[in-house]
Amino acid sequence: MDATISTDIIRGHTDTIILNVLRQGDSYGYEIYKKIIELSGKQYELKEATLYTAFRRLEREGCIVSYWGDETQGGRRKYYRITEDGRKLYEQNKNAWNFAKAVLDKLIQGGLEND
Amino acid sequence: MIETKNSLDRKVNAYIDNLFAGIGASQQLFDLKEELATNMKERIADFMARGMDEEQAYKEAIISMGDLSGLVDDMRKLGQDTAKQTVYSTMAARISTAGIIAGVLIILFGIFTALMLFFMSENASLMNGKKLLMQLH
Repeated sequence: MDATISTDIIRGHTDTIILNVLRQGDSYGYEIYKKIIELSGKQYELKEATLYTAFRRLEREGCIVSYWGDETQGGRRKYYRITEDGRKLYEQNKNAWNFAKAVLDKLIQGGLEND
Repeated sequence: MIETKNSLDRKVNAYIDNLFAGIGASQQLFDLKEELATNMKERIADFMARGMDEEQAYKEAIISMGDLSGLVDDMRKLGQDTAKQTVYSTMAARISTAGIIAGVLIILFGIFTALMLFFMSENASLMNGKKLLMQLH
Protein backbone atom coordinates (compact mmCIF):
# COMPACT_ATOMS: atom_id res chain seq x y z
CA MET A 1 0.00 0.00 0.00
CA ASP A 2 2.69 2.50 -0.97
CA ALA A 3 1.47 6.04 -1.54
CA THR A 4 1.89 5.98 -5.28
CA ILE A 5 -0.51 8.89 -5.62
CA SER A 6 1.19 12.05 -4.40
CA THR A 7 -0.45 13.93 -1.52
CA ASP A 8 -0.57 17.00 -3.77
CA ILE A 9 -2.96 15.26 -6.13
CA ILE A 10 -5.24 13.79 -3.48
CA ARG A 11 -5.36 16.78 -1.13
CA GLY A 12 -8.09 18.72 -2.89
CA HIS A 13 -10.28 15.62 -3.08
CA THR A 14 -10.28 14.42 0.54
CA ASP A 15 -13.70 15.90 1.25
CA THR A 16 -15.23 14.43 -1.91
CA ILE A 17 -13.82 10.98 -1.11
CA ILE A 18 -15.32 11.11 2.40
CA LEU A 19 -18.66 12.29 0.99
CA ASN A 20 -18.59 9.39 -1.48
CA VAL A 21 -18.21 6.94 1.42
CA LEU A 22 -20.93 8.61 3.49
CA ARG A 23 -23.46 8.90 0.66
CA GLN A 24 -23.42 5.10 0.67
CA GLY A 25 -24.29 4.92 4.37
CA ASP A 26 -23.48 6.35 7.82
CA SER A 27 -20.08 5.42 9.18
CA TYR A 28 -17.43 6.24 11.81
CA GLY A 29 -13.75 7.21 11.70
CA TYR A 30 -11.93 3.89 11.58
CA GLU A 31 -14.56 2.28 9.34
CA ILE A 32 -14.38 5.20 6.89
CA TYR A 33 -10.60 4.78 6.89
CA LYS A 34 -10.96 1.09 5.99
CA LYS A 35 -13.61 1.78 3.35
CA ILE A 36 -11.33 4.28 1.62
CA ILE A 37 -8.57 1.66 1.41
CA GLU A 38 -11.15 -0.77 0.01
CA LEU A 39 -12.44 1.81 -2.50
CA SER A 40 -8.90 2.38 -3.77
CA GLY A 41 -8.36 -1.33 -4.32
CA LYS A 42 -5.71 -1.15 -1.59
CA GLN A 43 -3.76 1.40 -3.66
CA TYR A 44 -4.27 4.33 -1.34
CA GLU A 45 -4.43 5.01 2.37
CA LEU A 46 -5.84 8.26 3.74
CA LYS A 47 -4.44 8.77 7.24
CA GLU A 48 -6.97 8.80 10.06
CA ALA A 49 -5.55 12.12 11.32
CA THR A 50 -6.41 13.69 7.94
CA LEU A 51 -9.92 12.26 8.18
CA TYR A 52 -10.68 13.85 11.57
CA THR A 53 -9.59 17.26 10.34
CA ALA A 54 -11.83 16.84 7.29
CA PHE A 55 -14.79 15.69 9.45
CA ARG A 56 -14.53 18.83 11.54
CA ARG A 57 -14.43 21.02 8.41
CA LEU A 58 -17.31 19.22 6.67
CA GLU A 59 -19.44 19.34 9.81
CA ARG A 60 -18.79 23.08 10.22
CA GLU A 61 -19.85 23.62 6.61
CA GLY A 62 -23.06 21.64 7.17
CA CYS A 63 -22.16 18.87 4.71
CA ILE A 64 -22.22 16.14 7.37
CA VAL A 65 -23.72 15.71 10.83
CA SER A 66 -22.49 13.47 13.64
CA TYR A 67 -24.14 11.38 16.33
CA TRP A 68 -22.97 8.91 18.96
CA GLY A 69 -23.61 5.21 18.61
CA ASP A 70 -24.84 3.22 21.58
CA GLU A 71 -21.95 0.73 21.82
CA THR A 72 -21.07 -0.23 25.35
CA GLN A 73 -17.82 -2.10 24.75
CA GLY A 74 -14.65 -0.12 24.13
CA GLY A 75 -16.31 3.30 24.10
CA ARG A 76 -18.94 4.94 21.93
CA ARG A 77 -18.43 5.44 18.21
CA LYS A 78 -19.01 8.80 16.61
CA TYR A 79 -20.97 8.28 13.41
CA TYR A 80 -21.23 10.67 10.51
CA ARG A 81 -24.15 11.17 8.16
CA ILE A 82 -24.21 13.13 4.90
CA THR A 83 -26.69 16.03 4.65
CA GLU A 84 -28.55 17.37 1.61
CA ASP A 85 -25.90 20.10 1.29
CA GLY A 86 -23.27 17.38 1.43
CA ARG A 87 -24.93 15.47 -1.41
CA LYS A 88 -25.09 18.66 -3.49
CA LEU A 89 -21.42 19.34 -2.85
CA TYR A 90 -20.56 15.76 -3.78
CA GLU A 91 -22.40 16.07 -7.12
CA GLN A 92 -20.73 19.42 -7.87
CA ASN A 93 -17.28 18.07 -7.04
CA LYS A 94 -17.90 14.92 -9.08
CA ASN A 95 -18.85 16.97 -12.13
CA ALA A 96 -15.87 19.27 -11.64
CA TRP A 97 -13.63 16.21 -11.39
CA ASN A 98 -14.99 14.64 -14.57
CA PHE A 99 -14.41 17.88 -16.43
CA ALA A 100 -10.90 18.33 -15.04
CA LYS A 101 -10.05 14.70 -15.69
CA ALA A 102 -10.95 14.99 -19.39
CA VAL A 103 -9.07 18.26 -19.86
CA LEU A 104 -6.01 17.11 -17.91
CA ASP A 105 -5.86 13.96 -19.98
CA LYS A 106 -5.74 16.05 -23.15
CA LEU A 107 -3.15 18.40 -21.62
CA ILE A 108 -0.89 15.61 -20.45
CA GLN A 109 -1.28 13.05 -23.23
CA GLY A 110 -2.65 15.01 -26.20
CA GLY A 111 -0.70 15.67 -29.38
CA LEU A 112 -0.82 18.90 -31.36
CA GLU A 113 -1.92 18.67 -34.97
CA ASN A 114 0.60 20.25 -37.27
CA ASP A 115 -1.25 22.09 -39.97
CA MET B 1 -14.89 9.14 30.25
CA ILE B 2 -14.29 5.70 28.84
CA GLU B 3 -14.62 2.43 30.68
CA THR B 4 -11.13 1.34 31.62
CA LYS B 5 -11.53 -2.37 31.66
CA ASN B 6 -7.96 -3.40 31.10
CA SER B 7 -4.46 -2.03 30.89
CA LEU B 8 -4.61 -1.56 27.12
CA ASP B 9 -7.67 0.69 27.38
CA ARG B 10 -5.89 2.68 30.05
CA LYS B 11 -2.78 2.94 27.89
CA VAL B 12 -4.77 4.24 24.91
CA ASN B 13 -6.62 6.76 27.06
CA ALA B 14 -3.37 7.90 28.68
CA TYR B 15 -1.75 8.30 25.25
CA ILE B 16 -4.61 10.46 24.02
CA ASP B 17 -4.81 12.46 27.26
CA ASN B 18 -1.09 13.12 26.92
CA LEU B 19 -1.49 14.18 23.29
CA PHE B 20 -3.92 16.92 24.33
CA ALA B 21 -2.23 17.72 27.66
CA GLY B 22 -2.47 21.31 28.88
CA ILE B 23 -5.26 22.25 26.48
CA GLY B 24 -8.25 24.14 27.86
CA ALA B 25 -11.29 21.92 28.26
CA SER B 26 -14.13 22.14 25.75
CA GLN B 27 -16.98 19.86 24.77
CA GLN B 28 -15.33 19.40 21.37
CA LEU B 29 -12.06 18.27 22.94
CA PHE B 30 -13.88 15.81 25.20
CA ASP B 31 -15.76 14.38 22.19
CA LEU B 32 -12.67 14.19 19.99
CA LYS B 33 -10.72 12.32 22.64
CA GLU B 34 -13.47 9.76 23.01
CA GLU B 35 -13.76 9.41 19.21
CA LEU B 36 -10.00 8.91 18.80
CA ALA B 37 -9.78 6.44 21.69
CA THR B 38 -12.65 4.29 20.41
CA ASN B 39 -11.26 4.11 16.88
CA MET B 40 -7.73 3.45 18.09
CA LYS B 41 -8.89 0.57 20.27
CA GLU B 42 -10.72 -0.96 17.33
CA ARG B 43 -7.62 -0.62 15.18
CA ILE B 44 -5.48 -2.31 17.86
CA ALA B 45 -8.02 -5.13 18.07
CA ASP B 46 -7.78 -5.54 14.26
CA PHE B 47 -3.97 -5.68 14.40
CA MET B 48 -4.11 -8.24 17.19
CA ALA B 49 -6.60 -10.32 15.20
CA ARG B 50 -3.96 -10.38 12.44
CA GLY B 51 -1.49 -11.91 14.87
CA MET B 52 0.34 -8.99 16.44
CA ASP B 53 0.93 -8.99 20.17
CA GLU B 54 -0.61 -6.22 22.25
CA GLU B 55 2.49 -4.04 22.52
CA GLN B 56 3.25 -4.23 18.80
CA ALA B 57 -0.40 -3.54 17.89
CA TYR B 58 -0.45 -0.51 20.19
CA LYS B 59 2.71 0.92 18.61
CA GLU B 60 1.49 0.25 15.07
CA ALA B 61 -1.83 1.93 15.83
CA ILE B 62 -0.09 5.09 17.02
CA ILE B 63 2.11 5.21 13.92
CA SER B 64 -0.72 4.56 11.47
CA MET B 65 -2.97 7.26 12.99
CA GLY B 66 -0.76 9.83 11.27
CA ASP B 67 0.12 13.34 12.33
CA LEU B 68 -2.46 14.64 14.81
CA SER B 69 -0.75 18.00 15.45
CA GLY B 70 -3.27 19.88 13.28
CA LEU B 71 -6.11 18.61 15.45
CA VAL B 72 -4.17 19.43 18.62
CA ASP B 73 -3.73 23.03 17.38
CA ASP B 74 -7.45 23.26 16.57
CA MET B 75 -8.33 22.13 20.08
CA ARG B 76 -5.84 24.52 21.66
CA LYS B 77 -7.48 27.45 19.84
CA LEU B 78 -10.92 26.27 20.97
CA GLY B 79 -9.69 25.93 24.57
CA GLN B 80 -8.32 29.48 24.52
CA ASP B 81 -11.62 30.82 23.18
CA THR B 82 -13.49 29.11 26.02
CA ALA B 83 -11.04 30.56 28.54
CA LYS B 84 -11.61 34.06 27.13
CA GLN B 85 -15.36 33.49 27.27
CA THR B 86 -15.17 32.54 30.96
CA VAL B 87 -13.17 35.66 31.81
CA TYR B 88 -15.59 37.77 29.81
CA SER B 89 -18.65 36.24 31.44
CA THR B 90 -17.33 36.74 35.00
CA MET B 91 -16.60 40.37 34.14
CA ALA B 92 -20.05 40.79 32.65
CA ALA B 93 -21.55 39.17 35.75
CA ARG B 94 -19.69 41.63 38.02
CA ILE B 95 -20.82 44.60 35.97
CA SER B 96 -24.44 43.49 36.07
CA THR B 97 -24.32 42.86 39.85
CA ALA B 98 -22.96 46.39 40.36
CA GLY B 99 -25.76 47.66 38.10
CA ILE B 100 -28.43 45.89 40.14
CA ILE B 101 -27.07 47.27 43.43
CA ALA B 102 -26.91 50.81 42.03
CA GLY B 103 -30.45 50.48 40.65
CA VAL B 104 -31.87 49.27 43.97
CA LEU B 105 -30.16 52.15 45.81
CA ILE B 106 -31.62 54.71 43.38
CA ILE B 107 -35.11 53.23 43.77
CA LEU B 108 -34.82 53.27 47.59
CA PHE B 109 -33.64 56.88 47.48
CA GLY B 110 -36.60 57.79 45.27
CA ILE B 111 -39.11 56.13 47.60
CA PHE B 112 -37.50 57.82 50.61
CA THR B 113 -37.66 61.24 48.96
CA ALA B 114 -41.26 60.74 47.88
CA LEU B 115 -42.27 59.73 51.42
CA MET B 116 -40.40 62.65 52.88
CA LEU B 117 -42.12 65.12 50.57
CA PHE B 118 -45.49 63.50 51.24
CA PHE B 119 -45.13 63.85 55.01
CA MET B 120 -43.74 67.37 54.69
CA SER B 121 -46.70 68.51 52.62
CA GLU B 122 -49.10 66.77 55.03
CA ASN B 123 -47.47 68.55 57.93
CA ALA B 124 -47.66 71.79 56.02
CA SER B 125 -51.38 71.39 55.31
CA LEU B 126 -51.99 70.43 58.92
CA MET B 127 -50.18 73.56 60.01
CA ASN B 128 -52.25 75.62 57.60
CA GLY B 129 -55.41 74.06 59.04
CA LYS B 130 -54.34 74.92 62.54
CA LYS B 131 -53.57 78.51 61.49
CA LEU B 132 -57.04 78.77 59.95
CA LEU B 133 -58.64 77.50 63.13
CA MET B 134 -56.67 80.00 65.19
CA GLN B 135 -57.82 82.79 62.92
CA LEU B 136 -61.43 81.70 63.23
CA HIS B 137 -61.28 81.73 66.98
